[in-house]
Amino acid sequence: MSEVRHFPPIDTSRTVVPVPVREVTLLEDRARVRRWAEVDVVEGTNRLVVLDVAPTLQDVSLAGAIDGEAKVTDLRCRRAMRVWHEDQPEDIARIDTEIEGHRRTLRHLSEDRTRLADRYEQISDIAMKSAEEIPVDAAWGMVNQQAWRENFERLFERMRSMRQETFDVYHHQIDTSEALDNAVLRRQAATTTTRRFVAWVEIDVHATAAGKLRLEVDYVVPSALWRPMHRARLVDGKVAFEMSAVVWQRTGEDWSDVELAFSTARSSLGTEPPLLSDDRLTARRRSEQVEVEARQVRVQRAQVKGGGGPGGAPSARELPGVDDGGDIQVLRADGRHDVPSDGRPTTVPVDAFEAPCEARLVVIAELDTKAFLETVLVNTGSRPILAGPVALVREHGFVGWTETLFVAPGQRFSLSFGPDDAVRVTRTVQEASEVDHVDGWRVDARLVKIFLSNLGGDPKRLAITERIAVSEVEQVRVALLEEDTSHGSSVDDDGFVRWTLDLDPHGRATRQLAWSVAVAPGVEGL
Amino acid sequence: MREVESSIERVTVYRQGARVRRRVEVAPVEDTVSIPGLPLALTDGTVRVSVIEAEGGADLVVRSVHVGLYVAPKGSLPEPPDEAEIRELERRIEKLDVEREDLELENALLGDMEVPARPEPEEGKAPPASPIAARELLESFVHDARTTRSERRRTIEDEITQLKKRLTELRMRREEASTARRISTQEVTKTVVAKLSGSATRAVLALDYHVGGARWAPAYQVRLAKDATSAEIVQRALVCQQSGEDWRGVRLSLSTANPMTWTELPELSALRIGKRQASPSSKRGFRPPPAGASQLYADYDRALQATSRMVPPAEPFVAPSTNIVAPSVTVERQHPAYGGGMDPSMMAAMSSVGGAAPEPDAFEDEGYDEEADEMMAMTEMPPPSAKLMRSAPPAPARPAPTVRARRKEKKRSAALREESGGIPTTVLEATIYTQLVLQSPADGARRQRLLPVDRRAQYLETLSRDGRALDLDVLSVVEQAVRRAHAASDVALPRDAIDVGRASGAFDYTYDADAPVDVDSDGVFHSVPLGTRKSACDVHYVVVPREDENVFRIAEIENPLFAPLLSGPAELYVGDEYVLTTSIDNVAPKGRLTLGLGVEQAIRCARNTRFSEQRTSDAVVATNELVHDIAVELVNNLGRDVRCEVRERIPWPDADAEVVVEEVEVAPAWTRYDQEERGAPLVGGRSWTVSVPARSEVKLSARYVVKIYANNEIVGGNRREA
Repeated sequence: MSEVRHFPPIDTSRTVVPVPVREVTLLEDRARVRRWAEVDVVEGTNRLVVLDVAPTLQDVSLAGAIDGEAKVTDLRCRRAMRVWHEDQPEDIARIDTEIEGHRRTLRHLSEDRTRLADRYEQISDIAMKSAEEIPVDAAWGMVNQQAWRENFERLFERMRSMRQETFDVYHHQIDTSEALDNAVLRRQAATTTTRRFVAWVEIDVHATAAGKLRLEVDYVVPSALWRPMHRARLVDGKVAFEMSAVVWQRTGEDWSDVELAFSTARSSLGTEPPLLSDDRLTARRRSEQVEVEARQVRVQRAQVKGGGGPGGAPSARELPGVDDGGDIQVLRADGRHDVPSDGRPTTVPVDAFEAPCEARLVVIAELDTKAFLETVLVNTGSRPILAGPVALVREHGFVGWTETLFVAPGQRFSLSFGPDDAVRVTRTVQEASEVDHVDGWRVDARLVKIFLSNLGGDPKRLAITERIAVSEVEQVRVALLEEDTSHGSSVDDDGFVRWTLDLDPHGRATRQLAWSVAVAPGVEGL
Repeated sequence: MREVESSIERVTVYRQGARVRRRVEVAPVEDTVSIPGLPLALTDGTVRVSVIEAEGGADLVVRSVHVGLYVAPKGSLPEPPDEAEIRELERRIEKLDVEREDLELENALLGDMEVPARPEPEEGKAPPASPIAARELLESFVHDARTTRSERRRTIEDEITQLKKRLTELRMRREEASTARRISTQEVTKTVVAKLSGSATRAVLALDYHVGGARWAPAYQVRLAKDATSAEIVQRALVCQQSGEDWRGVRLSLSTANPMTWTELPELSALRIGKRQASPSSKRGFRPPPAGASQLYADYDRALQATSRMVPPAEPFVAPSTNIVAPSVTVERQHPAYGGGMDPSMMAAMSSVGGAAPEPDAFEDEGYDEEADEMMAMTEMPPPSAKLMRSAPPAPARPAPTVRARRKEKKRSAALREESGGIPTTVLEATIYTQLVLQSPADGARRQRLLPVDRRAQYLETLSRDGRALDLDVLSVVEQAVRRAHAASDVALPRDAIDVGRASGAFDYTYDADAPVDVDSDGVFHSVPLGTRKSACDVHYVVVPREDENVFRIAEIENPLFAPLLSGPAELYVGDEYVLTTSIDNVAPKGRLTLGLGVEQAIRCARNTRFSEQRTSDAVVATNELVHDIAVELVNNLGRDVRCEVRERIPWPDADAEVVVEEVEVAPAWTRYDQEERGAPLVGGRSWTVSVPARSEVKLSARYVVKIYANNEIVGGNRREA
């Protein structure tokens, strides 16, 4: 028999109405849960209760509505600790009796042991004393071999049987003790209590007439969230892009057979606009020293949205929010889904599109000596692609993960399908520095060599990108040394140097880039 | 889930580590496929599964893969013998032991019975007659009694021997049964679980993974035809691996490259040089995570706190304690009149028979483990005596096993909780959502956060155990296997072999073995053949008569590969005869490999020099001319024409020295020789390349003149030739 108790106790006078979860709208850090059902109401005040709602729900968000000639007069959430006392009284009584029995047996056995030991001592004393005295008897002529034999045999026999009995008792003790341990284990197992934090919603409905009315309850819960996740499959120059949502929830209520919607709306963005601060300008005498620095500047490309975000993948500890491009997105999943309250991810497909793509091998040897297969495609779907991880599938197999940022419908974006195993890249840099004795300018020359090997049997077309610095100050001049730079390159305003190169099967090639930075005297920081 | 067989098809050994490709046939295709029997040392993140062939549906796709552990189920486990039978036997032996000890005691008691002295006479009376008959009767009584006891003892001993034999047998069977139920380290392998989707009925999958530590070095055999007109280059490789699986009949590729790992395409930013100033904060690509969710928990927390206080604490059932003392098997005679010299330890043993408390110190010398303390608490044992140790089987003296096992279990599970409870420190390769789990709202510090499932739990989830005990730490087992695999990269290379990382230059190459090869996982370098290539061979002769009159035979072999021949040891055979082992340096594709074949006795070389010093005063300043004549004679005793290179050297003046060297009358003309190919550059080198017809001779001559001022002389002597 299991006993369920609630602390504080639950009000049993209310009518329990089943109002299941029908629709859940997931946000980035919370979920709005909607329950509805047709309930029977009587005329006058109906005291209803909906059991087993998520205990994590936010009280102020709780709202209820009933249609028809009725009105929700009061609505509140109550929580309690539900304690299951899983025990069988008959069992416990029986085991307790058993334990008591074993303990009594052990006590008796212990007494028996003591008695036996005492008695054994007595008898062995008799035997020993007799053995002492018989020779004396014999010396005095009291010889009775028959009596000696009989007496000694009897004494010894009794000693032996007593010792055997001692061991029998001991073994009995061991057996009983084991049985006792066993019983204790069972006794401990028989009384388990489990606790669960539960919540219910008490609803007071005032109806003017009896009838079947639709009751609606909705509320907001934390411990439920979603993130977009995608899958891109590259087959025959086309990319099949599937968008899905991953849902986690641990609200305390299972959602089964519910409609799911995913939103990027934020109810927690704050109510105050951010503050501006002044930019106060002051001037000072220009210092003779010019301090410069080289800085990395990300170049935005308007026509193509890049792949990974800056700084690589965000860590698992700090999950980023969902970038919706400033426009709140609500995605609806088709059909009904189950999301158990176990904290594990559930993947729900949302949308898919297929688009042709341009594929090329990209080498950015300065950052990684690999050739990457990059595809550029257009989001031909009706919905934007939200920022998130993308599982990459090439032909028939999973190759790896990448990430995408927000991509609007109709926008071009690139996806990298990982390094090409057949193309190997080695990059070397030689640096030389020279100071001009006449004008004092220092010239740092840099020779970059890129060695490319095609280990495979297919020809490869590579797009190689290197960079030279771009100077924004007159005290620093950057120059491309044309005579030492491989032909066929082009340099743009951002300092990117690009080559396109065809590598034969098992072929090899070299590209080199020479450039120099001339620094005026008195310039520091380089 | 279906378990499918796989076999190694191809292995690519890189500079460090290897990539193994297995072929997996799946028929019929199911949603989830498990590929067991993979080495523990494989790197989980590098596992890739792809579809090669699919029948009945081209849309077959591998959706996801993950790595777990696997233990092959055992067909039939040996049944352990009945515990009750063992216990019954132990007790019977114990009781027989007791009886034997008792008989011994009785024997000793009877044996100690003294021959009685004649009673003292009464005061002033003659002593009674000597009680000879009585003594004899007493003796015969003692003897009879002892004989019966000895016989009885012998029967008991025989019985004990029989029973002990049976007991040993049963205990062995029990031991075997429990070992068979325990999973050993060798049995654990990794498994890849792949989720498939598509309508195919039969498919062939390729499973790729990386293992660390494997390594290779090039080696060659060069076989020259007897007449040295053609050559065969046998390319071999020395391969070493300890990945935990033998590569048998695999197609082997050897690469000078480093293994490729999955990385994302990096983004190159422009480099701008400008004046230093504080940089504005950059915007992130992702929106920051929303804040404020923690406020939603306010009602939950408040109620949880309030209700927790109301719930009465559960009363645990306390187990009653038991205290059982084992009786001693031996019994010492207690009467001090007998036995005489009884040592104190025996006294102690005797007193404990009644049930006195034992001295805990006594256990330490006995070799009991730390559990002794626990045992002490449960059941007190008699202190050991020499006899007890000999005759008492330990089992009955032990405390109730159920209690002990339970305690151990508790301890272990507590340890496990401690390890897995903390936030795992492993950082994922990328944010793989499918491996993240939302934490419980009751956990105030971690709620609303997603944390990865820890590796141990992931491994254990996939482990199929079919009721067998796993008492090993899975993570340390995997770690050990990885460490063992990586140890292969520290194995010393065989003599002359050169690490492939040093042997190759900026470009990378692959070399494929023509036929399947075997490489066992034993951490030893195995020499495997890659292929045999025919090549043209050209033999010429080189002599440096200034240093040595011997004429050296040099073979020049064209590299038949599209890739270079990397530095490594080469065994040289001429005809079928092994000549020598030499080492070759990198030879470019289509480049020429030169190999010294030793001295050719049939070509003779002689070199003679003449020297004269002349003073000239034609010019304004008087100079001394030092004239050196060199005459070289080559005799070819072979039956064919030979091409012979003769290397010479003339002096050259130092930069500031007032010395001039002039070459005059060189016949035939010679060319400059820089000796670069030997790594010892030379400025004054000269060489003749001449053809010497069969059975004839060729004469070469050269004259050079060193001019110095008349009042100077050359440091080291004016004559520069011997």
